[in-house]
Amino acid sequence: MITLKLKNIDEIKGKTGDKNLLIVCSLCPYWNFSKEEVEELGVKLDSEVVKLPTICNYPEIKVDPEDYDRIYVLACGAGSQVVSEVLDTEIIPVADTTGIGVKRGDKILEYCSACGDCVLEKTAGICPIKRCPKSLLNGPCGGVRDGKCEVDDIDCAWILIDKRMKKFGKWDELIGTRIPRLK
Amino acid sequence: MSKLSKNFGKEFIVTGEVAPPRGPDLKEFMHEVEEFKKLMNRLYGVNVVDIPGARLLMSSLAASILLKQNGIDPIYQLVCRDRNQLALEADLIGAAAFGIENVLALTGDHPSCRSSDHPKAKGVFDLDSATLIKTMKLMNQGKDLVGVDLNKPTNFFIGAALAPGATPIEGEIHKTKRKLDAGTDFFQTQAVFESSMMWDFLDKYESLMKEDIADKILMGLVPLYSYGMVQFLRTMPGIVISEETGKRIKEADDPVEEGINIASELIDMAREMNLAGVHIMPSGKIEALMRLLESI
Repeated sequence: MITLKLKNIDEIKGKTGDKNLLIVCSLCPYWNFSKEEVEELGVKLDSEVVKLPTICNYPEIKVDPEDYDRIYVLACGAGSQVVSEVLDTEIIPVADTTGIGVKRGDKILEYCSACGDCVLEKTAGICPIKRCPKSLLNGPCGGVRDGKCEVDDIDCAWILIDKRMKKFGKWDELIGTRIPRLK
Repeated sequence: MSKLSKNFGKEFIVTGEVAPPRGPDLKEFMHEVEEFKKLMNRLYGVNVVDIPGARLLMSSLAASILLKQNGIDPIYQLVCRDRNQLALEADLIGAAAFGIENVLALTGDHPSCRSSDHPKAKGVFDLDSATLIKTMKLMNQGKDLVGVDLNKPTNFFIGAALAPGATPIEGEIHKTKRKLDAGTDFFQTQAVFESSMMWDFLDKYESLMKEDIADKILMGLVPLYSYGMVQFLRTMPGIVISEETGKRIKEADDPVEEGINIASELIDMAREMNLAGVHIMPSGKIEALMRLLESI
């Protein structure tokens, strides 16, 4: 699913008008946040809440933007654009779209950045573009400590790649230099 | 040919380091340059850092040109964090045009690393240290990264970083081999405070890669000046300062003197390990560098 991170609600709240609407996509937001969290967001933003089915399918939106001072959208960047386009109005996104992720237990892990140049066959099926903050094609960097990244509290993607490549017997490829697409 | 490349592997190499100023006033920087000039009979090059820790400084290329124009052979540090392929190659052509040959190819600290003063700056990382080394190797053959001819080949003496304190060390060993195969002429380590860490790296590298690379390595040294410095450095990735070394600084009557003693002992160890030499990072205290040069 597409991963979302709520913006600073106190900052967005400053933009609240007298009559506000929060449009929520029925798909990814409910994978990222609980029903209660979404409801709480509506309260915090002093907004009516309207849930729309999968916004990226261009659903009919039965809302008159003239009825509201502010229209907030909880959806990915694409969904927020669709709402703005269909209603032909300005909108305020309440979340940042951060990537494509997986859920393991309660934890959401970002695995893909939709970069448009998949390198998984060169990196033992682990994406360094998203999972290494420097997006290194030739890691790890010197900052790895106990297998952890120096920037985020995550496993170093390159230590994981390193182990898997060895396991798959891809020694030459591991030692070789991966060149980015040049043309 | 740079003094560093001419003497590498023949003499015990000692290099220094300077940080460009944080602003356009060059007065203090030029004073430091004057001090370095007096040491150039002992030094084989002076590193010019490129916005380390993502804390803004004047461009390392501009500062390297200044050094070169003042008779000091720079080791121009170049990070991939702030430049795409075109900008890296353009700066390298600029460096070569001004006679700069020693270049240390670095990936660069992430803009949001702990020490950064521009944490939201966009990290480019179009290339990384290994691909930058490959690029320079191509430029030495008269080609750019995409294979188009330059009007003249460059003559870079290519350096790369080595982090013997990274854990697990296997990743660093594989990366070191990759950099070597890509065309690295010499390695410069991050600051080492414990000789055991360097010994361990060399042993493990040799057992995994069946190759002794000690004669390609300059061991990085930072003279310790205070216990506060020890505590600060311990928070940095890849830095290991043992309890014993920390205690020596903490309990010393003159911590600066003790820091020089520790660095001096490490220089002896570097000789014992048959390393190519040492890279001394004096953190602005050029007197410490002078003292260490006297002990060599």
